[in-house]
This record gives sequence, structure tokens and C-alpha cells, in this order.
Amino acid sequence: MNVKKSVVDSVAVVTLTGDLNAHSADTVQFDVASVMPAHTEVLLDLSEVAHLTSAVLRTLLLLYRQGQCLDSAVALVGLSAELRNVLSATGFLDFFRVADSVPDGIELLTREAERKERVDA
Amino acid sequence: MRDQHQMRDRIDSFPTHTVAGYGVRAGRTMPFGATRVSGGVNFSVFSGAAGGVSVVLYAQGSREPMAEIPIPDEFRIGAVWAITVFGLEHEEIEYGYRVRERGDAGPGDRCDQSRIISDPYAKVISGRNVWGVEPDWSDPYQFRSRPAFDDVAWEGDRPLRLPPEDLVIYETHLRGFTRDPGSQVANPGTYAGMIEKIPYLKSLGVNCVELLPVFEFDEFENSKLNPATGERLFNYWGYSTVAFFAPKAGYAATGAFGMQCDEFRHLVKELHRAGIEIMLDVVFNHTAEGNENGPTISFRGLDNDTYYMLTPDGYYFNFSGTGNTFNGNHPVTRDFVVSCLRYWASEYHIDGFRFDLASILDRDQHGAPLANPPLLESLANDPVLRDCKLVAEAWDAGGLYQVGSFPDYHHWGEWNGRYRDVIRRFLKGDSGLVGELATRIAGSPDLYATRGTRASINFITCHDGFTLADLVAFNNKHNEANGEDNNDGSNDNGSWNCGYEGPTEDREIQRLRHQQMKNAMVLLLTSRGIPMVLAGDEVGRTQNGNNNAYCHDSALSWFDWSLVEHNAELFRFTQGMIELRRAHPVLRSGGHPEAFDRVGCGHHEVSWHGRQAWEPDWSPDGRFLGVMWCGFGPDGVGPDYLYVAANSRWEGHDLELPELPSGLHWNVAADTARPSPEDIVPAGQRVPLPQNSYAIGPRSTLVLVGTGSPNTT
Repeated sequence: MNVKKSVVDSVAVVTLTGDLNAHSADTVQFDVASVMPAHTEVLLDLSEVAHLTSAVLRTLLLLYRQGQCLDSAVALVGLSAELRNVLSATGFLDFFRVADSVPDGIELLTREAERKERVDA
Repeated sequence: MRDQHQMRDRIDSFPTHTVAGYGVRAGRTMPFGATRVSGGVNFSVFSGAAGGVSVVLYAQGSREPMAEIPIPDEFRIGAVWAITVFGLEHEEIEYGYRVRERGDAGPGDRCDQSRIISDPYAKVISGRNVWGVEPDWSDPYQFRSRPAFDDVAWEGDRPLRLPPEDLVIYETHLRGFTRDPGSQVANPGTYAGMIEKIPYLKSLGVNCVELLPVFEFDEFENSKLNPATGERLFNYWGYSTVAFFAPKAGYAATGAFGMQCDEFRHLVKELHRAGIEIMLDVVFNHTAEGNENGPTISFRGLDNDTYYMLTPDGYYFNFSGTGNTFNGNHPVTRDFVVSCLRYWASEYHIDGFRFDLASILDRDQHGAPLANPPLLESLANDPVLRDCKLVAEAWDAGGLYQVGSFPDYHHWGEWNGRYRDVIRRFLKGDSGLVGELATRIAGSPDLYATRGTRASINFITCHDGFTLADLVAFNNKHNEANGEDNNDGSNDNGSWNCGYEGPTEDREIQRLRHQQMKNAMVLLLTSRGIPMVLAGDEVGRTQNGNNNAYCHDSALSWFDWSLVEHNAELFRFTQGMIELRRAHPVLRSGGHPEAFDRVGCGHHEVSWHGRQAWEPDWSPDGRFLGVMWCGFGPDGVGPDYLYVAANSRWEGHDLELPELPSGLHWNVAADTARPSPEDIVPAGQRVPLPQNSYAIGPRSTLVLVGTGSPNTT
């Protein structure tokens, strides 16, 4: 399982590839969480992920919670129909913002950050 | 600085032995089952008959075991074998037990070390992950135990604790509720599918769903082909439990991925969010292992003599009619049942349980009825289950009938079969029932005087027997499609076909049938006690006269969503009656009505009437009953007046209505003799009657509400 990180318009884009399972869940959690203090917007690209397991669902939720604690927003992109159905059926989808593409996800998070700045100001 | 949420390593998180190549240590005896611990998995299992127990491990989806780890006898505490195995990724394993019998086995012991035994405390079962997918029958280990994640994001969800008397229960089959393509849900026949229909349930107005068995079972048990049609018949209803702690994977859209636990909890959360409680139909009277000729799945292979009621020579008592009888009042089995329900109440936030053939739970280990059954007492007084509704189907297949006499410990309620029987007979026009009808409408004080009306689950139909539409369309059962020559199912249905057997084009018969269904809803929803509606009755669902559709996973038993539009009139009527019940607390008081004036209205809380006010007709030929309720209104201020009348005669009557205080008038809220939409009138559209009389139609029911401002001068 590989974790590729990049930054676009201050949004940290984390692309996951390979088998996502209980063994790789800890790695994912650590790698993604490591970008959070520096970036308040994190986009998880799952377009190259075929399957999810219960362990990975929990990792995603843990990242969401960590993001809340660090004031970072986490969004998902690249959900296949099957992934989306699994997340929806189990209720985990409700925790995340979901975009249809990486550019859409970046725009979504950027707009939310701007809205938040206006509120805080 | 250490993160405050990070646990320190435990001093027992390291192996002390190596067995079969795995680091292990003596396990924690409690809890039973497989539990994730730091560095591995703890396994704990009871077997009083074992001379030795091994944990058999499989890589998920593999046919052959990857390891077999004998539990050292030094790890055993009493009759409990416990071991912690390190280095296991609990999401990727399946497990079971191999049990070697003690040398002094008795006639009741059936340990078989050639078999792999499923864990009775397994939280997840693999083997029937997708409904109806034929398994590999050559696999000797069919129902594989798996550990489960026990962390849940409840988001503040809690059991709703609705007052029992405020419930309107909706009994449904989980799969059948959305399986029909007409449901148009994304995942038909699943927990996720039911979530999409919550708006429908809210619209109808029910606030509690009671699900037919959702504990893991084998839909292929006794499966066969219908000899006439060739269609596959299944164990569709599921009254044959394989694993009591595991939600059925085949009911989950995510069952193929092993996520049925999360999906089921999502359903619970969403129901609660909508203000709807969830009750589960639980089957502790027997298991899927059948008799001595049935499969050895778990209990039999671990401790047959403890878990089952056996004859002295080791055969199975059969008070359930299915082959075996679970030994509920044995201390170990009792502990199992209590633990199981505590688990569902605490880990799944279930609001209540309906116990199938519950009278079996009142039998001792030899089958004799107990005056003070420990299991029922334990459940009724359990601290975790304190707020759960406990409902007994208070009879069994061994001759016990305990409606009104089930040991209740001031907690248990009952499916009131007496209510069902008298309502059915009254509706079909039998005479001499007015007295008992009044007793049932009042909440059956003859049966539940010490418990109040909340002990009475009032129902006219349920999964057993005709649907409401069939109750008014068939005199006789038609179960030929079950492949048992129509010998199965009850012959005593209390039904009447309104003049023709089955489907008809006769408009008058169709009209009468709809009117009879509305009559049933009026009586059910204006009676004291807790009403239960069978799913689909609100839209006239039919099973073509089949009163025992236990084996049909087909349109015969699925909810037909086209009926919501086709029978919109009936839906609207039922919806209106549920709303009327909610608007008038006097109909759902937790106590039986008493002969005194509660609210200073000048009348008793309940009064009975005939065609003449204050003169009820209790005669053997009577077919009319009027009842006036006088109690507190929804805001706690009285008086609130309701008059309900039921006429099962084929002729109409002119009624003299009981007089209201000056300034108040009767208004028609419902009259089943009127055509829709006048058959049910919303509160803001009712018109005061100009006089104190009313003409009630033949075979009809009537609800009047008193409105206005009493004159104080």
C-alpha cells in the first residue's frame, strides 16, 4: 500500500494506492495525520482503492476525528460506486464531504476554508 | 509528553508459551467469545463435556485451517477454556473449536472431535454472507465464527425509552420490507434498504418496528423446490437461530465485506433519529441444530446436556415442534440468554424483544412448567434490560398456553391472542361477543389487572396467519404453494371472505372488504393496550390466502409497494387512525379504565352504550357496542370525550348518542361506512353534529370526538 502526498492551493492531497486493509490501516492513519497540523484542508483520493474493510472504515473515521481536533477538514474523492455504497450503507459516509474529482474536492475545501475565515473574522 | 489517550502496555500483553507456532498465554475467562486484546485475540469458551479444546484458525475465506492451537489444560478455569493468541489480525481470521470429549461422557453428551464447532458467542458469522447464494456444501465448517470490532460511533444515540402505552408497533420482515423492486431503494432487502423507507414509516405514524428474526440463520435450512412451480423455497422467516450474537450477514448490503454489524447499527441510529424504536423477535426456545439427526453447529458439540432439554437416554424433548428445546432455565443457558440480550441492548441499543414461543422459557430442564422460572425472573429484573420492552408469545408447541398467566415479574408483556380472536370473530359477525369485546377494548383487565394495559400487545394479524386483506377475503387457508399439501398453517382463522373466496371483480364485495379492514384498524387503534400492525396491512397486502408463508422469498410475501398508491385510501385511513390515537391520550392510558370521574366531567372514565345511550346490549344476539371515553386531553387538561361504536350486524342502526355537557358537540372523526375521503376526517375539518343522534351503517365502526367549550353558567 502506497501513500502519495502533494499540495495544491494549500490543500493536502493524499492519494492511496494498493490494498487497503487492516495491515495498511495504521500506515494510512499515521501518514495522513502527519499532514494535518500543517494543512487545515486534507483531500483523500481513493480513486485507486478497490475495496475497504471494517478496519479501514475505522481508520477513515479516526482521521475525521483527528481532523476535528486539529481543526482540519477531511474530504473524500474518487469513490467508486461500490465504495460509496459501502460507506453509505454503514453510515460512515455521513461523516465526510465527498467530491467527484480532485479539482472539485480542492475547490470544495478551499471554499469551506474561506467561509470559515469569514465566520471567524 | 505522552498523549493522554494512549494506553500503556499491559503486563499481560506478552506471550508466556508457544503452541503450534503461536505465542499464547492463559486467556481471560470473561467475557466469553473472541475479544480483541493488545497484540492479539482472547478466546474463551464453556464446555463442561470437554476433555480438551483447541482453537482452530482459518485465514478468511480459506477452506482449510491455517492452525490448530490446543488450549493447555492449565489455562482452563472450571469448565471454561480460555487462551490469548498473539499475532492475529482479527479482521482476517475465522475461527472455531475442536472439542475432545471427556472419558466419562454420558448419554446426553455429543462432542465430536471430527467436527469444528462454531462459537455460541460469536459476534460475526461467515458462511451465508449473501442471501440465497448457494454455499459449498462440501465444506465441513459451514458457519464460521469471526471476531468483531466493538468500537462504535454512536453519535449520541440512546435507546428512546418511549412509554410502552404510546407505542404503535409495526411488525415486519427485514428483507421482505424492501426486497420488491417496487421499493426503489438502492439496496433492496437489507438493513440499508430499510433506512430509505424510514420516511414512509414516519408518514404512517408508527413509532416502533418489530423485526422478524435478524440473528444469523441459515436460509437454506429445509430448503426445497416447490414441486408445482420449481421455485426455490427457503427458510425465509428465520425462526431457527444459528448464532445469537451475530446479525444476519445476508440481510446486509455490506455482508459480503463482513460489515453487517456497522450496517445494522446504522439502521438503529437512523430509526432512533426518526423517533422510532426497534424491537427484535428472538428465538430462544430452540436452535437450528434440530434433533439428534440435525447438524452439529455449536451448542450440541460443546455441551449438549447443558444447552438442551434431554430425555434420560439423551434424546431431545421437542416442546418447540422443531426438533429440540433450548434449556433456558439451566444456570449456564440462562446466563447465555441474559448475556445475549444485554449485548443487544447495550451494543446495539435495541429497545425491546419479543420472545417466540416464550412459554418454553417457563419450563425446567425436564420440561415441567415452573412456578418461578429463574430465566424469566432474571430477564425481568436485569439492570441492563430494565428499560427494554419484554414481550412474550405466551404459548408453546407443547401444550402450554399462558396468555394472562405468563410469569411477568411486573415487566413482561404478552401478545394478546385473546384480543386477536375476539376481534376477528366480532368483525365476521359472530354473536354473543359484546361482553368480551368490551373487556378487550378496555385493555383486558381480566388478564392484566396487576400489570396494566401495557402488558397487552393487541393485534389482529401478525406474520403467523392471514394478512388483514386475506382475513376479509378468504374463509379457508390456501397454502398449496408451501409444498405440504395445504396441511400446514392454522385451520382456525376467524376469517370471513365477505361472500366470495379470494379475488373478485364484484365491486360491492371489494367495498365491503375495504370497510372491514378499516373496521379492524378502528378497533385496534382505539383499544387500550399496545397496538401492533402487520406490515402491509395499511395498504391491503395479500398473500393470496397463504396463512403460513414462512418459506416464500418472493412477491407472495414481499411488501408490494405498488399498493401504497393502489390502496392509498386504506393507507390514509390507517394513518389518520394512528394520528387520532396519538391526539387522544385517553385511548392509550397505561391503566385500565375505572368507574370514577377522573377529570370532573360528570362521567366515568369509560361507559358502555347500546343503540340507546347508557344501555349496552350484552345479550347473546348482540352485535353492537358503543364506548365513551372521558379523560385528559393531550395537554394534560380535560375533559376529552371520545365515542367509539362498532356494529357487526348486516343492518344499520339509529344511535342515540350519550349527551355531552352544554356547549360541547360530537364531531365525526371516522366512519367506515362513508366513502373516502369522508371516512376519516382530520381534526381541523370536523363539523359538529346538529343533533345527538347518528345513523351507523351496517358492518361499520364510528369514532366521534367531543369539541367545543363547555358552558359554565
